Amino acid sequence: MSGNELLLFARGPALNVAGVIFIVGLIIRLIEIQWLRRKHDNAPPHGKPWPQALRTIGNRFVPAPGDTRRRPVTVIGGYVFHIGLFIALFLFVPHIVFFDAIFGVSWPGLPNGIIDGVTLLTMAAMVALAVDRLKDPVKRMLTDKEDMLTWMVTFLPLLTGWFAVNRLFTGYDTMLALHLLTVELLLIVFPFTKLMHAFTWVLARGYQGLIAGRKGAAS
Amino acid sequence: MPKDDMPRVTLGDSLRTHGISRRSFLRYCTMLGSAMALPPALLPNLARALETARRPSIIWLSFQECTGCTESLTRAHSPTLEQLILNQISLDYHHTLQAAAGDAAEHAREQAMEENKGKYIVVVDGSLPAEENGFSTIAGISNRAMLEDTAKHAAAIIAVGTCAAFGGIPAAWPNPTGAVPVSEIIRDKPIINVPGCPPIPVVITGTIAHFLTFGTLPELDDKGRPKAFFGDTIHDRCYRRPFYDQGKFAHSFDDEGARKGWCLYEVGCKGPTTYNACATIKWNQGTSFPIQAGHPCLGCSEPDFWDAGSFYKALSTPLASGGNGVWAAATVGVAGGVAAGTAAVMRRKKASKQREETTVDDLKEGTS
Amino acid sequence: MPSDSFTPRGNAVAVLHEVRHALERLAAGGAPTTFDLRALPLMADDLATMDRFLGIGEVTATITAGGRSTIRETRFPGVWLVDHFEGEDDTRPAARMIEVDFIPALLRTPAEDAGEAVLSLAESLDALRSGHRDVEEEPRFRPGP
Repeated sequence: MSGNELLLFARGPALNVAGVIFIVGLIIRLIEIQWLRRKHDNAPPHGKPWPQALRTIGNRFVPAPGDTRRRPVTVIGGYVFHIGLFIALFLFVPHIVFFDAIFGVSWPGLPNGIIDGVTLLTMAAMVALAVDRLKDPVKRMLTDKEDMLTWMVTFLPLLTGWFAVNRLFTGYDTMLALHLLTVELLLIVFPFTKLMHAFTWVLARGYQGLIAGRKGAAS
Repeated sequence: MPKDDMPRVTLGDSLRTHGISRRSFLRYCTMLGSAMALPPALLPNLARALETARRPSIIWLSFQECTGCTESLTRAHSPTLEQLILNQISLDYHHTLQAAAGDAAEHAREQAMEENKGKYIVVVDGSLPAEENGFSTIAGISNRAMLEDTAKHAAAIIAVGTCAAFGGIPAAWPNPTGAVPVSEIIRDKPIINVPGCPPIPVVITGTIAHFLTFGTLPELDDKGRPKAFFGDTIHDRCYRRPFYDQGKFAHSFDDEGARKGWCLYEVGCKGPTTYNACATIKWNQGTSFPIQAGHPCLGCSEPDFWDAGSFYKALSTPLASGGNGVWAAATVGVAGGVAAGTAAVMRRKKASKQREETTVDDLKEGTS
Repeated sequence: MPSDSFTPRGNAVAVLHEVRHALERLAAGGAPTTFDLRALPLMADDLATMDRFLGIGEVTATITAGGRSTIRETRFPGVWLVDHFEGEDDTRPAARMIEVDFIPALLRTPAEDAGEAVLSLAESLDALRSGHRDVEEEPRFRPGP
């Protein structure tokens, strides 16, 4: 199979299948989570549940006091990785064109040089987080197969994308195809693993804030 | 087609009789060698070798094609040396260009094959039906039979154009004639693919020149194309490449970006996946090439370019149009979610029904 | 553009050093050398500064043979800059070479041409002697395609 044929497969049937699994899986999971809500609490709230829910969604972006000093790799690495992934995913022009083709909305992107540097930083942060996780005995014990899988399916698209843009190892067509195929793997795995937190973080934080707000506690 | 040329006549002699001086030929060879990325030390050799090379005999076979490849060579604005070398001096058979017709034409082909046995070059444009299904014949001879017969004593075959090299448009879906490229029929002869729709003229002559000078095939890539011309992608050699790197794109054919000549990636340019020399050698004697004229590269020198999705959709986008598929998937998702949610609630209810009350005694038992 | 546009830098300097070695070989009785500047990794800036650095020497020539080429000796004798042009009005640069030689190959008269010229000159002189005034005015070769 030539690079061209592989690219056509990745852009065509493979993407369609992965996309359907992703969307179906995502909606199933989100509905399932909503369905399992707790019973209505009839007691009068002690605080302001909804404003606190919104506040909690926001203030959890800031690391807890002292956390940065206690576990710098996790906190700094975590921020670099998440912000970097966001930039590389949403501000790289070929990606914006991709979203435009599906959703019909587009926005301005960043020059490739910046995306290139950000991608390298993001991958470096991921490697640092993985090393830290394997070296620390507690984190190592907490690490299971799912963690390794989700790390791998997140790392591979970054790596293949960076290779494709920089024309490393193979022609652009083959590497772009591999990039798309690894993204498709990510899409398939996404709804059924902890990667779902990319959508559920709002629900989880909001819920925490809501409960705390009812009780009149800080969150 | 000069029939008076004796087989021993050299290319240099033929050029002289056509009024091409040694100096202008040396000049031409220097430029050709530079275009072929030959080491400069070899440039004088190129001219000398071509001067004394025996007039090449070329048999040009046209199968399922549009004559665009021949047009590319012969319809240059002013006559070029490459056109002269091919049309006037070398072509012994080309059924579009030759004056002879019918039996006389086929006789010219047979005569050229006989006189230059083992030394002539076969140029093929167009793809051909793999089966003897009668879809394409010349003088009652099927394309396949003519190719096999002519190739038998050829020194090499040059598959000119995307149809001959990869199947091209005749082989595009649903391929009604069962068309295949030359390489699917001929397995035991060296084949050089010079794809493009059409190919750049100097790439065709450059390839022939290389064969005549060194007696070997030029270095080929994994798709059988001369690396000297197909070594880089259009994108890598594109003068608009800096705009791609800066993130400056034309979003449509009539926006500010298009007018300013920014990168055409978003409007479907296939430059990043297309290997060809358009961006460096250009067309019409170096005047321009599609991207310079504001149109994205179609990827015409790559296999399956006709079926490789829309010409105007970016390379990074899905082939299928989103819309309905996304909504269908979302509907299935909602239905699935309701089912999964209901199942989860049922499980919870069942679990709470089966739950056994824990008493103080149980706890005491646990600790003792 | 650097403020000092006469100072070659980067790869241009490396190429100029290679030219120096080629010139040493030539001066010591060795073979001539040709550099295809298009095949070397040089930026437009590099080419411009190199051009200025090499300067203009004693000889400049224009060749009209199937298109226009210009040849100029640089301020370093033995180092020649050869430009080939193409296109409708012969203005589009097609190739640029540095030739390190006593005389560039394109400038030298081909031996066979000289041999043929013996005949044509003799013919012309014969015609002169026999009183014919219609000395061949057409150039032997058409200016080319």
